[in-house]
Amino acid sequence: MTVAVRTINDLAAGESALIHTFIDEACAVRLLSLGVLPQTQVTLVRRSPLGDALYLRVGSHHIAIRTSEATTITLQ
Amino acid sequence: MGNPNSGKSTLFNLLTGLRQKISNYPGVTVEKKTGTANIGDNLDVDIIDFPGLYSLYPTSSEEKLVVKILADKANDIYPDLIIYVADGTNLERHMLLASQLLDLHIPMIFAINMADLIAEEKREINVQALAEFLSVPVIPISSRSNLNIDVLKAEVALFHESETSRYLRSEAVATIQPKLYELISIVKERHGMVNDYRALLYAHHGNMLPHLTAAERILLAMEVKVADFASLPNQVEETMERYQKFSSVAKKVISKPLDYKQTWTDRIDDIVTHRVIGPLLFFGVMLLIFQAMFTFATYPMDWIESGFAAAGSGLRSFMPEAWYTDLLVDGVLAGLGGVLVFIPQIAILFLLISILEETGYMSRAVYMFDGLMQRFGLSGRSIVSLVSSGACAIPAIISARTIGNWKERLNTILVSPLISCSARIPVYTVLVGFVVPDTKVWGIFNGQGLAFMGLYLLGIVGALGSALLFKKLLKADGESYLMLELPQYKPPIWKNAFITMKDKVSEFVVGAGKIIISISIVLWFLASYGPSEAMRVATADGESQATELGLSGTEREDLIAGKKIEASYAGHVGKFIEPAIRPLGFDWKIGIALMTSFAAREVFVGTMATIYSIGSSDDEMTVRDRMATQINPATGAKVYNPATALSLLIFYVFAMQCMSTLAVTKQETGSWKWPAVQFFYMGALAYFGSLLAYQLCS
Repeated sequence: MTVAVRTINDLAAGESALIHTFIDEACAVRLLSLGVLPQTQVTLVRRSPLGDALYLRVGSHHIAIRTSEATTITLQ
Repeated sequence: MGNPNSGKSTLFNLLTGLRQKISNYPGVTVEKKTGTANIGDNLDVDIIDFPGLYSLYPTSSEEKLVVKILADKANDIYPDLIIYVADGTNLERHMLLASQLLDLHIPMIFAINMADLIAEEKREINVQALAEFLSVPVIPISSRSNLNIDVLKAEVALFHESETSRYLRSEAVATIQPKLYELISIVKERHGMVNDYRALLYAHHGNMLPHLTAAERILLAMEVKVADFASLPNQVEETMERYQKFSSVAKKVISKPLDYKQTWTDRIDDIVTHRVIGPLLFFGVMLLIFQAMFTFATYPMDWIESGFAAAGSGLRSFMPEAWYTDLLVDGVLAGLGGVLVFIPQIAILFLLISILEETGYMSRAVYMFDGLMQRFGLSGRSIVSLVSSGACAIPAIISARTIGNWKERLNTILVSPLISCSARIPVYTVLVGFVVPDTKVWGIFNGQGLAFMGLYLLGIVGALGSALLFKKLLKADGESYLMLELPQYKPPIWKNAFITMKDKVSEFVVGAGKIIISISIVLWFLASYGPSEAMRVATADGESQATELGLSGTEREDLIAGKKIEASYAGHVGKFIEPAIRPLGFDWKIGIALMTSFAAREVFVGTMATIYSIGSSDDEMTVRDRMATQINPATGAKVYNPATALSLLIFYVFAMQCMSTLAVTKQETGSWKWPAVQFFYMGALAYFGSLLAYQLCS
């Protein structure tokens, strides 16, 4: 990796950002169908007890994703 | 149809009431819920509650099933009309699947659910704008507060009389890319279809569509290759295009709330999904569930047991003393009692689990435990299967179907039966008293209750340990996802919870019930009959011994009965396997019960009842009391000493003694390999666990 791209996994708890794009296509199909779209505001609400899942607020709705999935979503 | 959490099943329950039927989709064991709804003036319609899905590009096998049905226009249950249920509070996302269904050219009524919640938030629904875009009837409803359900029914009734075009969108929402024109037209022509989007779905999913012949699939695969068609990028592009088409409409239809305000859900989740409090709370909830099962279920279980005992002696008092009376009382009635006695526990557990599902708590549990489960080679969704296994491994194994990743799903299926199920409860109940006295610990806990907890923990440790082993042994296959919706907390709908409870109970009675009753009858036969010469000798021997000892009445009959069962077919089998189980502290009578309970664990108690009640005039004695009086004829010591009882308990924690579970595993994995693996690894755990326990304790 030469360019440091910020992903959802780099957010601090309570921090919000706009989604830029998806790195992984298979993940993207699933995320899109859950209503996670580019240009949407996403907030990291908290991390799971063991830290490997994220509790996100997308728009006014909540979803949970793994950190490995979060690293495929880049931020603006 | 609709996304998960759209309130689709609530609407289904509302429309059909109790006029519904649970069966399986042919070839797979995805639950198929069908029902009949009266939509006015003696007009009945058949409704199917399809599994919830987010799009026609599925990840789990439940979602895949829906796609398979919708791709095949000739399918028996291909819908005539779709009632599409969308969550109005998240309309944009719920429009995705609807737009795909419209492009398949299936007639649709679009129901905006949760209209009451939207009104509460002082937001308005512009029905007209949505109806214009979709060009199908749009009705704001609430399946929770019964809003506009009559309007929906009237619209369904109208479908019979009006032109189908009223329920169709003539133009596709998503366009086919020019570079795919040729591929689409080839597929359309060969399969004799007119719909572009259906042809596109064939190109995407050709390999998984069961209605296509092998030759058709090979042709499709070749054409897809020639056209240089990349499925995944195309799915992304198509989905993005759809959102672009309807995003602005969705925003216009439901006025946005001004600012994001902290909701109840946020406040609850601050505690419930807290990194420390959350997991503690989860185990607290689980503990409460099990305590509820044991305290509340005891009373109805006692009534059922004493009811059957009374019915048995009642029948005996007016029926002649003959083989068919024995068959009826000791075979059929005993077996039936053994089935019905589980109903209270299954009912309580599934009521509570479905309430947790209904409120939205279960998905929080999945979120919290996904990481932990991943370490064991399981999915966060496995937690639901593992918890359900507490009632019965059969629904638990079936519920593993929501796990998209095959390896995680298989692992969940293999280890779920190690979690102590309700069928083990009667075995534990009978035996635990021999190990732990019925006393209070620290003034509040019941000693036997704690022992129960210990047995459950042993099962959980066994399951997780085995999962870890399978994580290493099983081959990885495909991607594993969490990506899970955390729905808003909602008060549970009792009707839904009760329907789930009723379904689980009837599945158990119909499924396991037949096996239990037939085994009970076979057992009665094995225990009542034997080689005639051996039986005659045993009777004579018993009589002379009883006279020698000066016994009379019940004692005399019991002694003769003991001799007779030893000579019966059951005694022969028990004695044959005795050398193998002697090191575990088991005698041939336990051997008989181990053998028969391979059919189903709960048969253990029925077997004991049958074995010990034969020849006895005292039918009311409980199995446990009868077992407590058993003396080893060789040593004069009690048969059920703490070491034997503990060894037997451990055997029942681990052993795969359930034909039905093996059958479900075969069905879910599609091969006998996995039930065989399950049977042998659990058997090995049981044998060596019991051996260790008995040798250490005696």
